[in-house]
Amino acid sequence: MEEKSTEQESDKMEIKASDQPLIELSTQELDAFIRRANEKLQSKITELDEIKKNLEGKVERRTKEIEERAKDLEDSRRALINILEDVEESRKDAVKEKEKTISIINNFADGLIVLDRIGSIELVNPSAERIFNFKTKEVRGKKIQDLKDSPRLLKVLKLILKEEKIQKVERLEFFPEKEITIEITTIPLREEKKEFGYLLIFHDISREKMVERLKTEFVSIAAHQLRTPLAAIRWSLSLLQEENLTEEDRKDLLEKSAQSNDRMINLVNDLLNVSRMEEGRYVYEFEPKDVLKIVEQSIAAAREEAKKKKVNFQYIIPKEKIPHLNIDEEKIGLALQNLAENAVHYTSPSGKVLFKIDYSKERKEVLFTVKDTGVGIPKSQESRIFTKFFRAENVMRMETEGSGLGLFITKNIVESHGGKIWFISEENKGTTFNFTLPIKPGQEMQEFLESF
Amino acid sequence: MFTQLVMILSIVCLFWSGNKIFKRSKETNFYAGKILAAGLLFIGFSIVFYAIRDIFIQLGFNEIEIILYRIGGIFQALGTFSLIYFVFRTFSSKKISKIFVPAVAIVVMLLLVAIVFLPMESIEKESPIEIIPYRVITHPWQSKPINIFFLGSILFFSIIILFIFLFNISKEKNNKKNTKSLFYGLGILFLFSPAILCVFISPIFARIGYVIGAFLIYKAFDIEI
Repeated sequence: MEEKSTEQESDKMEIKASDQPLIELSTQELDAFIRRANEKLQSKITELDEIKKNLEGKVERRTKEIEERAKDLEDSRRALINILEDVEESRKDAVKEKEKTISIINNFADGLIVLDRIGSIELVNPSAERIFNFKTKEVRGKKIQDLKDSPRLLKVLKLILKEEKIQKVERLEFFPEKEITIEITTIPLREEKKEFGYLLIFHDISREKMVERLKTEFVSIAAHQLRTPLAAIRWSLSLLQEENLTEEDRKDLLEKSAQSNDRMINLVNDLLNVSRMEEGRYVYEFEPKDVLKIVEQSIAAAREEAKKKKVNFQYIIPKEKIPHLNIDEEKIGLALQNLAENAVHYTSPSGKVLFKIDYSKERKEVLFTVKDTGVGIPKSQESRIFTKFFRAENVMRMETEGSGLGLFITKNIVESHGGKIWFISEENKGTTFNFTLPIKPGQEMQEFLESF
Repeated sequence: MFTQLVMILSIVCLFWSGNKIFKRSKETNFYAGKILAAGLLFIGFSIVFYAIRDIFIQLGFNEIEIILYRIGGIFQALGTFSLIYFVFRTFSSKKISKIFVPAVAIVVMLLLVAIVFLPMESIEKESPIEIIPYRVITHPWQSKPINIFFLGSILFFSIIILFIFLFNISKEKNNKKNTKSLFYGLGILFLFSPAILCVFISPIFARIGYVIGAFLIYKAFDIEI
């Protein structure tokens, strides 16, 4: 009651105070007014504090919400970036695969033409461009039946088309030109049992055909070459069986048989050498050797024949000592023998043969020259002189002996030693064969240890 | 006395081998042999100067002694270059020669400059092997970097030469050729690498090395393959 009356009194004073200007208020009234004002202020402050707290709480909550949303957005962004990266990688892989496929197709040795369902050209690889002599950009999109500018393609179409439809064909041979054979194969392209095009494959088998033909020729020539000496031996042996032969006749027949036998052995050896060369089984054993000794041994038989035939055989060696060469003694001997014997063989009596050796320190090589004044080689046949079984026309007219393999073998031997062989010739004037053998690195050491 | 005998033996072996190898080079037209012969003769001449130098040391004429030492050094440097060039030219590939020979030439030129012009210490010692008192003098350079450069160069050349010969021996199956190779290789090595001992320890030990080298070359020439 007392509190209430005090409060009431205060309120009265406050009302009184609020109506009157402050300067007219008594001290008590003023104190009460101030007190009340303070209280109201405090409560307002408290209210404001609460509002502030509420607001802060709300702000904090909203901030948290926003942060969470931002985080979610960031996660989504990252996930999207990862997906995009994966897509980009897949795209790159697909491009790589496509490029790989195109590269394979473009580098494929066989010609490839891809046709769509209606027979229009979709793809032509470079090998096919070469076979049919057109460019992809000229023919892409056109129907294959409409390409009348390519005679070769027309020939192919005749083989593979039936009632305007492409037939399934496997390894069908066609001959666009002489000495060119191409195998055609057509493959229908299917996707889930539905045909969407054709793949035409053109495989050039010209080389295989040539090898087959050469093999047949080789056997035929070998058989022919062997038949002659065999026939001679048979004839000699049948004559030897006769009773009324003199001792001289018997000797003569036996000598002829022995010569024919030697011819056969030489021919078989040449054939074996050629066969081994072609198969890569002609093995060389290189060792440092004094080449002069080998030359002297190899040309001995030719010198002997020259003496009998009255051919002037000259042998010239350089003044300076030739270093040892890294060579296969047996093979080089064979090459030297071939050249020397050919020179004497195809030179008439009272002709000349010069066998010369030169040593060039600057070029680090030894040059062998075999020059004769023999029958020479016809100009039109010079390009074939090193081919198998080749014998020039003028030589064939002179005699039928000779396998035509000697120079082929000699060239192979020289080139396997890292050397070069060439010739200059004039028909009825003579021929000069030259070949070089290099002085290889590492030979200096061997030479030093052997000489010092 | 022992030192003088060793030097005389070295000189005789080197001049004999050098002369024989030079003659054989002319007969066989083998240019590299002439380089080897030149190397052996240069080393031989250097030892001649070292032998004369020793006389002046015993007589106490140190000013003349160092001049003779420098002249001997010039011959030995030229001989070393010839021997190393010979080894690269004959026993290694062109590619390796093209890289190393110019480098060796530059190093030897620098050593020549050092031998001729740079100041040296003079350290007198008693010879360890002689029965009668015998003085020797070592001449390391006054500059430490030059000494290190000299030591490093000789060691480097030695390792390279040894490697080249061992490599070639590993590829060769013929034992006689390998023995001959080894004699030449070690002989060449012993004709220049003991210079390290000469400069830093005592000339006596170097001269023992030189006589071993000379003897190995002499024997190598005798081995017939």
